[in-house]
Amino acid sequence: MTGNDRHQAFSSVLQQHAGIVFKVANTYARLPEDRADLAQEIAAQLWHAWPKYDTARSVSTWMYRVALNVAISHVRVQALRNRHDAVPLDEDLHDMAGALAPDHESEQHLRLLQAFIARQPPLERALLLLYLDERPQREIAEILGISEANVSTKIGRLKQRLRDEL
Amino acid sequence: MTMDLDDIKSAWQTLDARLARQDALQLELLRGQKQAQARRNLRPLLFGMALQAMLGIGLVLLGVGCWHNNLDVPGLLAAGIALHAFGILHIALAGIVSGLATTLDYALPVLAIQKRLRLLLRVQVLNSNLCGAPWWVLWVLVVIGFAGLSPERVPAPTPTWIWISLVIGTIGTLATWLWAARGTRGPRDPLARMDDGADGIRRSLRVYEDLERFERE
Repeated sequence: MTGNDRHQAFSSVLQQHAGIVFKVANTYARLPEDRADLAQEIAAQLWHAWPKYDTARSVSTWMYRVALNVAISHVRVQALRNRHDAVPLDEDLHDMAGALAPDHESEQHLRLLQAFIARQPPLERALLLLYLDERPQREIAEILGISEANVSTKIGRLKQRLRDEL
Repeated sequence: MTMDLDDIKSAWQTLDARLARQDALQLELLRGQKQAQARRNLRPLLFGMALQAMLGIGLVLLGVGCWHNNLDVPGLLAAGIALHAFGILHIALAGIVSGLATTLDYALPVLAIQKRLRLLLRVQVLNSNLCGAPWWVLWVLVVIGFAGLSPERVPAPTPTWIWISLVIGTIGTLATWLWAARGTRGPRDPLARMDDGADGIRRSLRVYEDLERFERE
């Protein structure tokens, strides 16, 4: 495969699955510029990892793995910066929820969900994202590197916490 | 207001729909400078490790020269062997840190990468403790090592300032190790959480804590 073909194949995969990049960026970054920055970083790392991608395997699993690994590393580095440059949570949530809100109730729901996501530690956030995205348990297990039985247990607990806290 | 699981999924889909509308706008941003930056991210670490390895080679050469020239002078022989050993340690740890950092493959499962990252942070902390802190003493050994290369006989007895520097250096090294050891007290210990400037110990603790909790729950 020539360099140009490789680039075209990657661009097409990225276009098809761009939603994964944006969902992960949105789940792990708070401010719009930070989200755009993280989305770019994920795309750059996907391009970096592309030569080693095995086309026989699921592209969404590969993309989720790279995207979540980049996002979790990003969150850990940002954690130190945010100590000195904290953004009030309300302002942050307003920014994330504000643009759509067709009605008051769905806006409230979205705010509650985003506040819940923001409270989760990085690994739990990955599980929550994959669960909300309705990925099969087998794929969640492959992405996170845990057994399917473990995924099932964790999702059961996660659902309970969602019910309790929202 | 309470939400059931259907409301939660519906809120998530609403967010998803909004993101889909923004995709076209933001996708253009995905090209360009970030790709170059992804390759540049590791450069400071690798540059630092290359410098450490070169310093290690210098220490090995100095140490070998010193002990080889002074097989009959116990103090210089010991200083030469210590320099030789520290040189090897500098090279080996620089190689291990560089190897771990450059083989970090983000396409591996999330937990595998987190464990790898935890290992990298631990080795970095070990590296700073074994190759950084002993420089309290090592500079004195370097001075002795250079003296040992001279064809002229080093005057005996050993100058007092060497002994004083060795004592101060040993105290300094031990104090630095004690300060660093707070990181091993456990994630909830307030001393362990104290800022270490570079955030290395606390970052390592955060990864440890997150992994522990995720695997336990």
